[in-house]
Amino acid sequence: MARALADFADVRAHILAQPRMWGRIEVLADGNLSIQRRRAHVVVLDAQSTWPPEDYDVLLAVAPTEVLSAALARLRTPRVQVLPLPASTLMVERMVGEALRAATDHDQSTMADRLLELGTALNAERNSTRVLELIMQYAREFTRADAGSIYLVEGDGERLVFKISHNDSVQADFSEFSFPVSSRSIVGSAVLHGKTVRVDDLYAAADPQATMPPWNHDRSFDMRFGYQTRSILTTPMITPDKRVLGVIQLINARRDLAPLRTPEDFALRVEAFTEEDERVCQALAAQGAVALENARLYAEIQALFEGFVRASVTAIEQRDPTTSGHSQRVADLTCALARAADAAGSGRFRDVSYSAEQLREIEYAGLLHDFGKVGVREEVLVKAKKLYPHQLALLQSRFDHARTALQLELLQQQLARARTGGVIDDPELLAAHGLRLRALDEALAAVMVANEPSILPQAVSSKLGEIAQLGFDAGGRTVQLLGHDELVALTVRRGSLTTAERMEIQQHVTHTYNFLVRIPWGRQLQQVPDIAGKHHEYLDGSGYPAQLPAGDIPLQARMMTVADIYDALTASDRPYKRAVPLAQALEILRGEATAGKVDPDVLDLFIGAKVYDALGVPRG
Amino acid sequence: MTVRLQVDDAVAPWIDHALRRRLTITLERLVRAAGCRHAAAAGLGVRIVGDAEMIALHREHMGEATPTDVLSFPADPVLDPGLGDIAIDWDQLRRQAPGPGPAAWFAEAQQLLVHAVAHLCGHDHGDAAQARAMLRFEQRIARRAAIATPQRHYRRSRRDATRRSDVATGARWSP
Repeated sequence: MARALADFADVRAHILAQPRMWGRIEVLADGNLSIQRRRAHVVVLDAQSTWPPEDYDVLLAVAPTEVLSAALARLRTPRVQVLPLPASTLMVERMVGEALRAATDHDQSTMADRLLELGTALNAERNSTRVLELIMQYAREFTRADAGSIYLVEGDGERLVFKISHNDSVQADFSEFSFPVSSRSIVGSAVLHGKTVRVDDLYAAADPQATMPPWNHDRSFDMRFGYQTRSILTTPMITPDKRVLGVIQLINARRDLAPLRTPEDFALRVEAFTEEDERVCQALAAQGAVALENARLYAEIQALFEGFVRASVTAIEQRDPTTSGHSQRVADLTCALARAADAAGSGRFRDVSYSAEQLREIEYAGLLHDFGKVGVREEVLVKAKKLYPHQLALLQSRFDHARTALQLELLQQQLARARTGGVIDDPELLAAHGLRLRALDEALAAVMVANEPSILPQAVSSKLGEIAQLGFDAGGRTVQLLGHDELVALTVRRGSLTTAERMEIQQHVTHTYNFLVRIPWGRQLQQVPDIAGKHHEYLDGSGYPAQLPAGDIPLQARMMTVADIYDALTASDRPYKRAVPLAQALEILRGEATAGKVDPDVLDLFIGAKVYDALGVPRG
Repeated sequence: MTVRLQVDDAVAPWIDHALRRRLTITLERLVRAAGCRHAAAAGLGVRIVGDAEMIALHREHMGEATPTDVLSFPADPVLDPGLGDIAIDWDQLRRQAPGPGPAAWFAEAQQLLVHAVAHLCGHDHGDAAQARAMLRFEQRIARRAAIATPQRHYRRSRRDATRRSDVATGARWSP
């Protein structure tokens, strides 16, 4: 017989009288009722005299018919259902049931939303640890698990490594450890069988009828921290091609979100994981497996690239060991400069910002900026004098040869005189011979002077021209004292390099570009060849190889120019180079900026932000 | 590579063996004082020339067909080994030295070398602030090398007020 309930107190009393019908019922502090079935949460509200709480899925507003519309006008909150009084018990039961169903629907749509969110977040994540953190965070949120861990399978599927651990109730230090995969642990058996293991209560008295599980739960953690591991949900993370990558283990599903402190908490507030939890957890595990696999592939590609870049750097530096470390230092300095530009809040660099990918692009460009030097002859790279040692040796032996030829000529003349009965030791003959010998020595002396890379004296320069006209007789064939190439090298006005050799060294930038441009860098690193290939271009168009105008030189390349010159000046590991002190190096760079070659703003940033400290060691 | 001192035949009679050695020692001290690790590794070339050669150099690198006391040729830090080169006009030096005789010439040569080494280390006297910084640098390396302290800003040189610079800019970074 349906009885009419007239006011809120009656409704409350009726609902409280049937606890098994709904789920968990609690009376809230203001007299309203909270009904929870799984995650669905309905609040039965006395709409006439109280305000709704903040946390609910569906609100059932209860009030007498005559005041209900006024009460509803006060309630601006969403998801409100109404129960006008008086109402029959049947009606109350039906309305509460409907509210719970609506709450369950709402809860599930919220969860679907969160799953979509997680999917998006996982797609964007490239770091495997953060992938695991995300999975764990969402899995615990959905299942209300107090704690959880993720283990990854490593090696050839033989060991499990403990990676991530969350625990709301115990602050414990979980360092990474590993153990073999075996069916003796819950986690191990989940891996071996590829199946979810769900335990309702580890502390419940064992059912003598049940078959003993093969695993044995290790209670040392519980003992140490006064914790109780009661309900467990262990799900393997399986890729689409059926490999088990790891295991998600959730511990102690709770009725609410408060931490578990006392033994009573564990006995009363811990629940078993439901089938629905299992389904959600499996979905998460599958999604996590894909994300983890992606992150691994990504990391492998990155490591491959990184390894390739490092190997290339080794190749460059083996070529010219005197510049070892230069590539790394230029990469470090340019990255530090880019970071400083990124951090600058005002001025020219206010709008400059570099993502982690762009910084990596700059780093790779820095590491490989001199790669083209593998295409430059080694002797040119380390040339110290105007003639190469082998050229000088050849030239000296040619002078020796000339001297021998003179000697031979004298002896032949003397022999001829001896045969005809003439004077052998004719002073005139000897004097002429001595004169020619001295001329030869002077010529060699001039060559030795000219061989030094200092400014060439004009007198020596014109003397070289005369020497080049000289030749000697070698068995009927006239040999020039100076070859054409030697003359060109020796008449260089300053420095040790001929124009052709300078061009050859400058070609290294072109080689660098041609080499780098063949590599499919992908969208994120596509500027690497451009940055590395323009680090010798100057703003006034006097750089090389292309004499680009300032507008065509990207900022990253300008930064690399500053870093490259700075390191060339201050590197202390070049035996044939000076290492100028910091202040002088900066002074020289300022000179380059004044001359319109180096970007003055970049240089100011380099000096102002003390970017050169990025190398960490005092230079010079 | 080491400090190289070359004396052209035109002025060789003025510079005897002892003076040559003293100049070389001064150079090595200056290079060390300027912070280069090993004077021997600094790669510095100094040529002492006469008026004729200096006029040729001055015209070639700076477009002025007049003698000048000193020219500096900084090296390209990326391409050239060494610190650079210095050319000193001994005829001009004798004209502007504080007195006649080797002692005065040597004193003047030291001052010119201090100035030229400062140029090679990146200093210039473009504006007043740079000139002050350069003078401070010159005074510091002179003190370390036990050379009489330079007193004057090169910019306001009483010897040649119209001189723009004595760095052979045309020679820098030559491609």
